[in-house]
Amino acid sequence: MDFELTDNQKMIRNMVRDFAEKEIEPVAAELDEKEEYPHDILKKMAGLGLLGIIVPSEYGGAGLDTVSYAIVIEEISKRCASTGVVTSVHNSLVSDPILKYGTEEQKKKYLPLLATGEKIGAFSATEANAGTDLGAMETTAILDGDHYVINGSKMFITSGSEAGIHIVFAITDKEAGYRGVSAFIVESNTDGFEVGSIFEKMGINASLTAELIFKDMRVPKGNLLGQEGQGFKIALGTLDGGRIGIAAQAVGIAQRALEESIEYSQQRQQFGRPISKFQAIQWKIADMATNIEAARLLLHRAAFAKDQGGHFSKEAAMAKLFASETAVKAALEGVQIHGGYGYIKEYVVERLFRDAKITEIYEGTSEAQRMVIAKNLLQ
Amino acid sequence: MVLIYSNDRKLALEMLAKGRELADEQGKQLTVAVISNKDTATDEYIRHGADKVFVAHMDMDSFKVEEYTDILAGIMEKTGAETVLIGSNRDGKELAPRLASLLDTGCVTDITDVYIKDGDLTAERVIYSGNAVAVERFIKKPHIMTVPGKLFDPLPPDDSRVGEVITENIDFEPYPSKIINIQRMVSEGINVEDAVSIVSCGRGFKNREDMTLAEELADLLPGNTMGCSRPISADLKWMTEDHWIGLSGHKVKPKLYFAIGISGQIQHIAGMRDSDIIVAINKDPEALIFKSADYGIVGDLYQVLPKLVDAIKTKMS
Amino acid sequence: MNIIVCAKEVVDVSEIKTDPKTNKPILQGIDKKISDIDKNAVEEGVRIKEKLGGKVTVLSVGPSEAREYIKELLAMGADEAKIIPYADTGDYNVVSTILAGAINNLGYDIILCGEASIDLFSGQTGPRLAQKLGIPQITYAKKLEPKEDTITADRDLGDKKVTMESSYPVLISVTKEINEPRLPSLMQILGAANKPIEVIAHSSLVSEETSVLERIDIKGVSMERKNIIYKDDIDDAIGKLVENLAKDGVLG
Repeated sequence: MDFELTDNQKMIRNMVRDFAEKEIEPVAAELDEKEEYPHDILKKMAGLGLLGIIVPSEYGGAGLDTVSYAIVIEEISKRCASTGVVTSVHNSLVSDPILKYGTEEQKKKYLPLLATGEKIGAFSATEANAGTDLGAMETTAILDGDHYVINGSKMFITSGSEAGIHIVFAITDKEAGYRGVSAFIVESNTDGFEVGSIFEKMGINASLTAELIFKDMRVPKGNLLGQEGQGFKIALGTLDGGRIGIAAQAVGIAQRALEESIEYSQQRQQFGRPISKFQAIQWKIADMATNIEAARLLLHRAAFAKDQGGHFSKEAAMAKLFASETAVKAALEGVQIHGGYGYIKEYVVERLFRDAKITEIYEGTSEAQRMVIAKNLLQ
Repeated sequence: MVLIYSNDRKLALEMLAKGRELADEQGKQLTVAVISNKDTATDEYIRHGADKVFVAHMDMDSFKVEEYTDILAGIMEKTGAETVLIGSNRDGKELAPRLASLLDTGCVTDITDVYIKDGDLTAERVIYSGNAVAVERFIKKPHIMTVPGKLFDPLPPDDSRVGEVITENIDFEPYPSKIINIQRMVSEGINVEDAVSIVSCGRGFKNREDMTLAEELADLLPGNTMGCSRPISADLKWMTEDHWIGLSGHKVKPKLYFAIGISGQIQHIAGMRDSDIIVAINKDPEALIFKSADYGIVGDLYQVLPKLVDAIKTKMS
Repeated sequence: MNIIVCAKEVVDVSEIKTDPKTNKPILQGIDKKISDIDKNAVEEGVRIKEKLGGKVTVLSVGPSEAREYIKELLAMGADEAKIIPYADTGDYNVVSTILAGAINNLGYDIILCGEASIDLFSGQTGPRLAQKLGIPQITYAKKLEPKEDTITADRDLGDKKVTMESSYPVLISVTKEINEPRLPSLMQILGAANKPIEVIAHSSLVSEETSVLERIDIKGVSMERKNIIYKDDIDDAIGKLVENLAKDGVLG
């Protein structure tokens, strides 16, 4: 057993760390404040292969392992959690299912577009009345000749207004319950595809979150992903992988909170000495660091399990559950250690605090993760 | 025999002071090497401490390291030089190691001190970005060092001193590289090296115009001039190189030095470390500059400067 | 074009902390990296190769663990690397003799190095190496114009700018301003794994007698400054600062 990263993984970490420090850090606070999508950053990331991390080289990607992928998302999220989630959705929730369930024709057409960043990907599953309970979705797809005609709307779609390629879920068989859900690859320039409201959020403000409206949107039959009725399985399988991305995002947020807290506590003087000399602060830092280490180990373990093939939903759920709760705690303590300054926008912990919370909610709430874990243990 | 060489006359005069000390301590002679294609005033060196001036006549118009290395090695051979101090401008810094390599001997660049310890010549230099000082012992002669400007004060001229001037031609092999163009940088007549107070600007300034905040501060101070760190002059061109303070720029020692928005890399510190009082203003509490400062304010220069200007005005009125 | 770039592993000087008791730098546990300016040299080497064709070989005298960092240079576009494990004692005569020996075995047109390493900042390796090889040196280059038979370089020397031209072979030391080293893409990082890294013993290249200098101590920097740093209230800090400067008699 070896806990060391490989030379390649270390090089990738160093490269992404350098990139994030030079290219993301200087603009992250402003993007958050102005709620601006990180178009320029994504363009530069594409040049480095970071938008095709897990896509095999024959489709224009880097064809890397999932641990490397987790390292990339962590390093990006340390500087900007919004860019982190956009990258995670793009890779895990869009490229990955096309790779896994797509036909050769679909892979050849869409994976290079995604891997080179020409198109950004979005995962369009959630609806107003269908979050964790995907079976309750109302969007329908009805076969009409060579096309499916899709009607309905989607909510809280990360990159929804910016993405060029969507994985859209819709009901093809109303009677079949969740077995009646199908997945489609939809290009955003399709007639009938409309962007509704852009939601104002608490955090991850640079990742635009949109409402989508489909009005008689005609999608070619060839864009059905997998089989009719396989949508639910595709969604769950994809979200297992997505959770590794969100766990990595959470570890990145937590790690940044720790680093900021260490730095601040060593500088801030109270009662004539740095506050890092006080046990109250030391214990907070020790707990943060321990939790982060544990979260990262769970994350890398889940990523490793995914690469081994086989079932990894329990591992992914555990990593996501623990990492997201760690991120929220670390950000909370980070603000506390910064005292009054932590509540001020000039200090990055304020943003981390707002960004952390969503990791406990999207791609399955903490409650949903516990359901998955329990189901794996008790079935 | 101790030998001094620099194509910067001022530096040569400064090195003569230390050279004199080293020569006297060992009962040796002190010689200045001059490499030139025209007649130069040699008595100034003698008035400032030299016993001899060795003029190597050659027909090159300007410094070129390969040929100068051969010539200086020739002078060393003819004069029996055991210790060589070379002025640490850029020409000197590429000359000294090449010369040391030719003679298979030791070289210490940018020394901060040199002395004899347990019978061996020992030199010190700053390493690790100003975090430490390396103490290096020469285990072979000749000893070669480069000496930065402003490290030593020239001796007061002594008109009664007499010395010998030797003029010779030294042979050298031409190398297959050539100088195509030399552009002297235009000086604005600013002399940071003579200023009493210097207000220096670094990357902490977001725009060129913002440096007026620093100018307002400088205007309140006696014998003031503006200075800057390398990026402001070399990269951004917000100030001319006359203002550049640092290892490769100017070495200064004013009574009062303000470093504003300067991180404090070793190269900058090397240019201002001899100032009497150093004040640093930087918003990064970890900035290296604070280690070298007498007073420091951790804060945003955009907030600090206007208030500081007001406070000094009030104090002086 | 046979391009050789000298690069070395250094401690990340920005992370060095000093022991509060001895004032000496604490070097253990500090992250290592390739000296920044050496990366500029590699970048310039790769650019020359892209323009004129040829091969870029990275040569590193230093710890064998440097392999991890040397791979980054291969990812940037260098073709192969040679590591000569040697515990650097700061004796540049030894290091340049080792480098010259290795380079003579390789054949070369251009040798590139950084103007100095960021840890010790001596700037000796380039000039010493050029002399050992008996070739011209162009130091402090901030712009290069390589052609088939000659190369021209703009050098920034503070009070003067000098443009030089040389035939090959030539040694060139570059400044940080010359370029922005590229970040390797994921594909280039993966590709680097297949590029050869050879380890060469230094014993075949240098003898003991080459030593000319001994580092007898690394001292802490004595704190001769007052070091009064105000961190909290700015108005209060300014008040105190102005009082002190007036007391010191430097406000005129």
